[in-house]
Amino acid sequence: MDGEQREPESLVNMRTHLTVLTLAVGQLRRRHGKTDDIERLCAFADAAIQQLKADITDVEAMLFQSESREQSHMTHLRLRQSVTADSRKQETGPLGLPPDVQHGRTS
Amino acid sequence: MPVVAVVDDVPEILTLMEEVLTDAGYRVVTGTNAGDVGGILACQNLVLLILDVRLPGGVTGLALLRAIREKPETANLPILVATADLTFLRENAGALKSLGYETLPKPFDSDALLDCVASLLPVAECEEPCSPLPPSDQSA
Repeated sequence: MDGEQREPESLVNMRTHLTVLTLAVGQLRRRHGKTDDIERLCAFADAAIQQLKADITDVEAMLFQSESREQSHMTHLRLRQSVTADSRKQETGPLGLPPDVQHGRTS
Repeated sequence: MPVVAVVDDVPEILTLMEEVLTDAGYRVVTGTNAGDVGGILACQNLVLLILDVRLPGGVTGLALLRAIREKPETANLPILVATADLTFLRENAGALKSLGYETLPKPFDSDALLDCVASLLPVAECEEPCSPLPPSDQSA
């Protein structure tokens, strides 16, 4: 459990920076939001925050797809290796010798 | 006065969380690295620890969370894990639950933070009504 897997640093950083932006806009609005100009600028920031959240979700989905593809590729490779090894075993017999040698049918 | 502690290595997040919580009527102490956690846990009147799990300067992650629970004096302290590492939260969801940790994934806004904090504290822990300060009157 302690062998913690880590997310890409850039994705973690994006979420962190978005938290800073979100909290900062929230504080600006809580403390000074009555001014029209501040409210107008906060609205721009809000729109950017929503867009960034959507962007992060897209990146997460891309990463998930890429990980799934990689896993499926690895499974396929392992399957192929195991099939190849089995067919080699059949060609050579369980002791690693050709079947006719294995069964004492050398001529 | 009850104290809420925040430990996060990003100074801007630390400052903003401190502001949000102070404005809502909490007394706040802060730390920036894993080494600060020990001192903070010894703080009198500590009622809640908000902790990032990716911290510089010592034991971090699940090992830190386990170490906190192993101390008898903090075995039952409400702790909110606030992190941007969603993989950590996902992969350790079972362990976090069994250790009694609540989680707050980043990004979050001040309302989510205050809701989470309020839900973890008995009503009596907040001296003032835990509502945000009204915006300052610009016409004054």
